[in-house]
Amino acid sequence: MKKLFAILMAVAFIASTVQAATATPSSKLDDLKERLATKVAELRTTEKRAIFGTVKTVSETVLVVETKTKDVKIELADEIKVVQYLKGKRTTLSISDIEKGDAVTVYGDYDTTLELLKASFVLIQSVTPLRVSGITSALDRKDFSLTLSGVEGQTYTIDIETTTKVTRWDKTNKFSKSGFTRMVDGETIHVVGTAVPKKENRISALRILSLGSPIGEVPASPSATPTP
Amino acid sequence: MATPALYMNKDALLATLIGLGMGLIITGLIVVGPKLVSGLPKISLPKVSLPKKSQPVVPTPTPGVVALSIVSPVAESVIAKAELLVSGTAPLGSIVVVQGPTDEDVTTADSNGKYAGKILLSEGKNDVTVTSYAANKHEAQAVVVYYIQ
Repeated sequence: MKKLFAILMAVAFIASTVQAATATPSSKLDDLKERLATKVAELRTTEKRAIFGTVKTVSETVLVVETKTKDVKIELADEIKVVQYLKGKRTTLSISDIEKGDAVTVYGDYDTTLELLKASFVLIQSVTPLRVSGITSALDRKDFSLTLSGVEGQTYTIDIETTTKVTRWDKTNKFSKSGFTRMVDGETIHVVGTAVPKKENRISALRILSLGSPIGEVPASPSATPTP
Repeated sequence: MATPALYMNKDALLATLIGLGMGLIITGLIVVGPKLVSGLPKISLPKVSLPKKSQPVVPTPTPGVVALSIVSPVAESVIAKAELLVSGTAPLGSIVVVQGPTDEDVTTADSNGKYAGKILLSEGKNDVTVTSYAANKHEAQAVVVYYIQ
């Protein structure tokens, strides 16, 4: 009788051990499958995206940015990084430094279903320089300025500063350093600069690329107006 | 007894005569035949013209009609490196100016109308402008890309 009891106990113990050994990997596998399915579902609806626009409203947790096409709601996480270039130096700031009207680039996970951007990075951008191109005329050697005529008939006055970098390009020599004194009427140039305050169509040149005379006319500048 | 021999002689004589006759006919045809044929009116077969299988006409591409385009980078893309290669198509042999926020590159479209230029990006939003100058034609295209460090 004792022997029979001992045998039954041994069988029950072995059976429970085997069941435990087989049940644990199965439950782990189910858990892994569930997590994988959740992650796949997440990846289906979110994607890495960056947007640029002007801050419309700002709070501690939510930012609304007005882009060219629509307003985008942005969720601000605690671990978000806010950066701005101050005097050429990359400076780390906080959410409280973001103000209404700031031009910002926001990067993060965009939920296409909810149309919500979960931001991980915000860059407060400075004003984008203007870009214009056209043919030179009326070079004023005393005033250090010239007139630029675009193909659409719009004219700009370009101020040459002491810091203005002038580069010339030709097929033979490629790029070479140049200057305002070497410039002549009828040249095709590309100008990058900043708008002179309170003076319409006047640009203070940061850099000029001169191409000589590639053809007679010059195309319209696609970004002749500053973007906010 | 003489009858079978007579029959045999008659048969041999007939065969000889037939052979002689046929020989004469063949000889006559050889000698007179060409003259006789040339005297006959000429018979010509009617000409039948079958439709020829026409070759498909392949249009020859006209050189220099490639429009300006930016193939890479794709608009609104997020870039992880500061140096960016801008490539696409432009009119053959045209001068192509690639403008970025901090510098410019100037290149020439090759015989296939392809160009490529390198620029440096600044952190955040970047306007990339490409302008082509060809004989009597100029075009400009622009894309926005984001450089995130």
